[in-house]
Amino acid sequence: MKANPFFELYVGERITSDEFVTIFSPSLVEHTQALFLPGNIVVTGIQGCGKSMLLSLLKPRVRIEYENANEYFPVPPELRKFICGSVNLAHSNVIDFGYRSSIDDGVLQTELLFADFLNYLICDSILASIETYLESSQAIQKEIGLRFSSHEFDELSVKIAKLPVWEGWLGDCSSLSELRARLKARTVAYRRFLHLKDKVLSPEIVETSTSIGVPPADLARLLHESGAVDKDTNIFVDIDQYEDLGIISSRKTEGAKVDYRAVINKALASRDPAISYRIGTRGYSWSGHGKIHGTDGLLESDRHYKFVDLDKILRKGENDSARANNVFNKFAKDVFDRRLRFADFSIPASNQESSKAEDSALNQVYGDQLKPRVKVNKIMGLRNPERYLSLDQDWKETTKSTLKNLAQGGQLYEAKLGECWIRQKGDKVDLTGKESELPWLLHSAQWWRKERAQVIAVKVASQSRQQAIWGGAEEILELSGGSILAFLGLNQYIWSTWLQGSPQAEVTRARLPSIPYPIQSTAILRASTDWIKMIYAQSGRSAERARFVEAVGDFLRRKLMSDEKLSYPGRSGFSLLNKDLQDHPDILAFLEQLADYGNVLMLPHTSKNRSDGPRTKFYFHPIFCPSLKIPYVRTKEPYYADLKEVAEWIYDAGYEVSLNSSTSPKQEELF
Amino acid sequence: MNDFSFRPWGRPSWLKPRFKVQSWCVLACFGTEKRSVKSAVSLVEEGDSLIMVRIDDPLTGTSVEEEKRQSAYRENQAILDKSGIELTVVQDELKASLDRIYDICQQASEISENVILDITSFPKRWFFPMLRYLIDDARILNLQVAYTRGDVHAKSLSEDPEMLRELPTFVSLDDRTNHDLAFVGVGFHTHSLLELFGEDKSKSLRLLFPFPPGPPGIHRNWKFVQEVEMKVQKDESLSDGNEPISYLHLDATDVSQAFDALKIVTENGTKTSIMAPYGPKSFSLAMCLFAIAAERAGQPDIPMWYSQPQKYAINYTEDAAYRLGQLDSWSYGIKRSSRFLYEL
Amino acid sequence: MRGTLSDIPAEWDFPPEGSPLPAGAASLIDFLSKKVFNDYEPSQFHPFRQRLVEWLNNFQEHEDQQHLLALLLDVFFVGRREFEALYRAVYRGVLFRWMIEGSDIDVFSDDLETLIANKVNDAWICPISDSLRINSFLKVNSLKSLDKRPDWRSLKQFGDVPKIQSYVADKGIRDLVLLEDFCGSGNQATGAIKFAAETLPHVRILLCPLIVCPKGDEALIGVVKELKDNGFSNVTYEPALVLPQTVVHDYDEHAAGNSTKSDLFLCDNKAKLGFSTDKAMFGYKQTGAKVVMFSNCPNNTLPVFHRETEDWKPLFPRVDRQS
Repeated sequence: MKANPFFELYVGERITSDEFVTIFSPSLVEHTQALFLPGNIVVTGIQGCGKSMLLSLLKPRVRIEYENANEYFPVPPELRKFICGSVNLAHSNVIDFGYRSSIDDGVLQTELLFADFLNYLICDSILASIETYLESSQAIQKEIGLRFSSHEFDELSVKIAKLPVWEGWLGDCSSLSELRARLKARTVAYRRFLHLKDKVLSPEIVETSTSIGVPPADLARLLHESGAVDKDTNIFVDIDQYEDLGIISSRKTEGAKVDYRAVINKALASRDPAISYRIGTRGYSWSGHGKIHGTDGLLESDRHYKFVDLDKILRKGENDSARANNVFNKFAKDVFDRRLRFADFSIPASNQESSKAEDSALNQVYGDQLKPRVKVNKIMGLRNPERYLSLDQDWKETTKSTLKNLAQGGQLYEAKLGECWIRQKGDKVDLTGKESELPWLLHSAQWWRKERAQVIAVKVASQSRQQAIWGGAEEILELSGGSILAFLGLNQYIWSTWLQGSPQAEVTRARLPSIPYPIQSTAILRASTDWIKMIYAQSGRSAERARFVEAVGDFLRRKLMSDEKLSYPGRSGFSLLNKDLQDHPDILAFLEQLADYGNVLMLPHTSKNRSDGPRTKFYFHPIFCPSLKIPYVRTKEPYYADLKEVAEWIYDAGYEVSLNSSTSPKQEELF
Repeated sequence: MNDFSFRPWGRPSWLKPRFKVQSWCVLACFGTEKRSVKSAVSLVEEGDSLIMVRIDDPLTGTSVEEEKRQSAYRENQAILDKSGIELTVVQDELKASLDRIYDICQQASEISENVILDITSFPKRWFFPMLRYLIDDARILNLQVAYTRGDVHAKSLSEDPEMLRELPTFVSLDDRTNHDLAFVGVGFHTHSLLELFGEDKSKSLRLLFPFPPGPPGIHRNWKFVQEVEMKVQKDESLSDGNEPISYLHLDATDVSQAFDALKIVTENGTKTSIMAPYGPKSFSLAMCLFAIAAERAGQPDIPMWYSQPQKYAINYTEDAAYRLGQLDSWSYGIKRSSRFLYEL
Repeated sequence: MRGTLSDIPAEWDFPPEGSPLPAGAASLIDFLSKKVFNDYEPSQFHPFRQRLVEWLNNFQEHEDQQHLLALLLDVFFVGRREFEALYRAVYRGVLFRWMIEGSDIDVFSDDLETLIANKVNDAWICPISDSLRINSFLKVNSLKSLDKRPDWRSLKQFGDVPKIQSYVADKGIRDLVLLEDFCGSGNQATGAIKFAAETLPHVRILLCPLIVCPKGDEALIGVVKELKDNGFSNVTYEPALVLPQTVVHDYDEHAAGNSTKSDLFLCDNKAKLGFSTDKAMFGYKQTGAKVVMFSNCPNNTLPVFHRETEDWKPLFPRVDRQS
């Protein structure tokens, strides 16, 4: 099978320079420069939004890859003076405290040991980065402000080991590697304890446990004061998989009270200028958990950290008239180009410089915008299209014949619009005039048409018992819903379908292919269906969420399909009163979880019609919509749901929510 | 080239007497499936003891569903009562601490120096560390692992997986992220498989393809492979003989053979690997034994990555499977007169 | 909708409601074509994909073509590597334990592997029919066995009983292993095993089909029981793989009026294959199997796959033996 340029996983040796530098897109850097400036940063975004790609720019290995590949490192030169250590909370086992029963005996003790374990991991990771940089070129070392040589670092290690914060546990270290070995020995001791290879943690470790953030800050200060690094070289720490801290759900014992996040929050709260933290997480699992270990205070945005909301950034420019320039679109197109280049397709240089949408490789391969009108009138290939009109018996003969003629003349779309118009406004007007004078086709009705465009296409598909058509560059970008992972997935499926149908000889890499709409459509539909299935593989209450998406999607679809007048074309989402949500934290928590995992988009809803207070509206992620057979465009008013109804939806999905007002949310598994 | 080695395994009634010991302690999981109790009961003979461990899922469904669960337990209790076997029932949560799991294993070795661990319904989070403790316990002279196949699997076997993380006690103490090989059992889903390679890089991926296939059946296995092929890119610059992705076709009931396959490919554990015990339980068992064997031989740690489900279907299987009127069970000899039969 | 296909339409990934095809059918068949089915030996020079399109074009109506494709997606294909896995499973599972049973070797002895390998090499390992590749079996397992390996189907027909008995006595053979690659109804194997049991009543005999259909399994269990009842208790039957019920079409159920949609489709089109009875559409002995091996397509498998006439193009043409 020929290689699919949009692979997810790469197995082999070549995983180094080529992959990173070619596939890796730096598009988000200009919007997230705060990451490279001092100060704590919390980066939120749904899985697959590009967070990890972005944060990997902080890693020394990536910096070196760019140099090896002779490529321009995408971080602006003036922001490159940093050294960053990285700790992956899940991989390092620092979240495994729950494996021992000791967690139940001492909540506070556990939090302190967690802090100590994390401190040692952080310090070792900073030194690991330094070790990597010491093997890099002089140019890089100069760039980041690394002054000491290996030998000088060995000497410094003596001093580092003697820092009072360790309380002597590190002993005497005469080299950097010895120092690292000692730090590692402690982390290994923790792992051994947590996984019951040692029954108890050595009392020496317990007695010399350090407070969160203090050793890293002291280390950073020493690095600066000793001249090992320039005074303006930033020391960063990147903590990955923070969101998993909330869902490592303990058993239902005392140990459930351990608040790992509060411990990490404390590091942020200290605002020590010597060191800055970067934390990647999901939206709602961050908010609402601002407790700081050891105090009653709460973590505050702007005071203790800067908040970088990638989802918001990616959507920026969404409502601009120059749609093509929205941040996500540019990002996605860049990723697309890079993937194809990696697969040895030649993309003419001129494409890359042009800012016109039509010139992009994406548009060349998939076509521009596939309008609903074109879908219905041309691509669907319906025979005897007038069959799909439902004309009321009481309508005037001229009305009926006008609509029929439109349909038969290859304008079923316009005819269906007319059908809705007349249903809505009544069969009042004489329709025997010119087509351009038909009331629903006038310029004045353009918004009315726009609101119903997608629904009409979906309806016709439903009525003709065919699959709806999906395709075109713009639609693929929309369906990705701000997720680069979804974008890659869609491409993966389309190319897989396309490659399977093309004989070996025909796939040349000299030219970009043009993939026909029917192939795109089938593939998009497959991707959409699989995407819903993949919800089951997510953590949290994933099965319940998946069932919720399927059931509520179906409910909304039926509502849309049975709305003959199309008076409510916006019912591809639903809305709830904020007050109701606040009063029922269980339900709010479940919906927030859906949003956190990118299953649903949660937006404030200023209802035009009602005066009962602020609302929130919920829409399914666009990539689910083809499979759910509903439009993904968000227009007009969503379905006004009531709380009981939503509670029932959640119950039917398998999760029993309390309808009692103001109970605190189930501690357990939601976060 | 015969690098395979037969380690005794077969039908429980065939293997058990060959140990030539007086009595055994059977340690089994008291689940909602009928086969969990039927299996345990069939392993117990005159003079043997039985400890059944009831493990509660951390996540519950609606109260209607929970009532069904309790009802299934009651039915199983009735089967146990009818058998007339004297038993000890222990209960805890799925996320029980390792200390607790260790204590339960101690309970078994206190009763007898001959233990049969029936893994039919034990979740991996339990039986992986249990097997380690039972092997390490010097008081246990003879050890078998038994497994009974089930019939008619539920459409959705389990739900709400935890995030991908290392199984308890099967970690890389050094936090190694580069490996020579990755082994994955072919089973139901690929999603977690790909997450596995986020931090971890391996040079080569080996998929253990069960043949003869057990559940979910050969067609589902092909689908798994299809997904992997679409999502995984191979490094075409590697020289021949360094096939980045390859399939090892192995009998889904032969634990010894699967163990040897791992041994051969990793060159006796000298090549570093990472494992994901998806697919048939026999493959998981082989991986578990191999990791333990590698540790004992002083070879590099083999971390086991798994996303533990938090909710299991009440009717994971409708009933036990039968062959020629007998339970379709298999037993594997693990320790004999203190000797660990899977030593590297 | 109808028409001659030039290839599988991509839209068949989302077949309309009521279609027998599962979702994702087009992508799946594409994958299977390249990775699984193209391993079919008898048609090495006629690419699978081409045969597939020609086979589907046996029908003109899309619905019928889809029905055929749906049947193909149910096929249990046993490729080369699957066979190797079976050879190993037979040796290291079935054969090993059977040998241990017949001796007093301590299962836990250090030399077990060598001791058993020697015993197996001393055993007489023969195929029942010549479709079982006995050399491959021996090679994969690094076995030698005896150099005369007649297939017992032929032996039953031409064999000289006294000659066989004296060969066994001369070589000191105590164990006879009869292997077959595929047993559909169990018919062939029954004849061979009965002959073997009666000819060599003091030799331990293992009957081991690599693959057996559910009906065949039942039949062979019965045969061994019958032999026991008649005083021949030297026979053990243990297959390596018993196919699941889902892989066969049940003719008896169909005849009793409980036909599946697939059954009806097959029978409705029997004339196209040149048959006049429903029975014939279910293959040899009405086994109704959907099994194909890389070496051949058994005649127990639905003829819709292997039948070759002027009006019907096969997908898996059989290497037939003259009966």
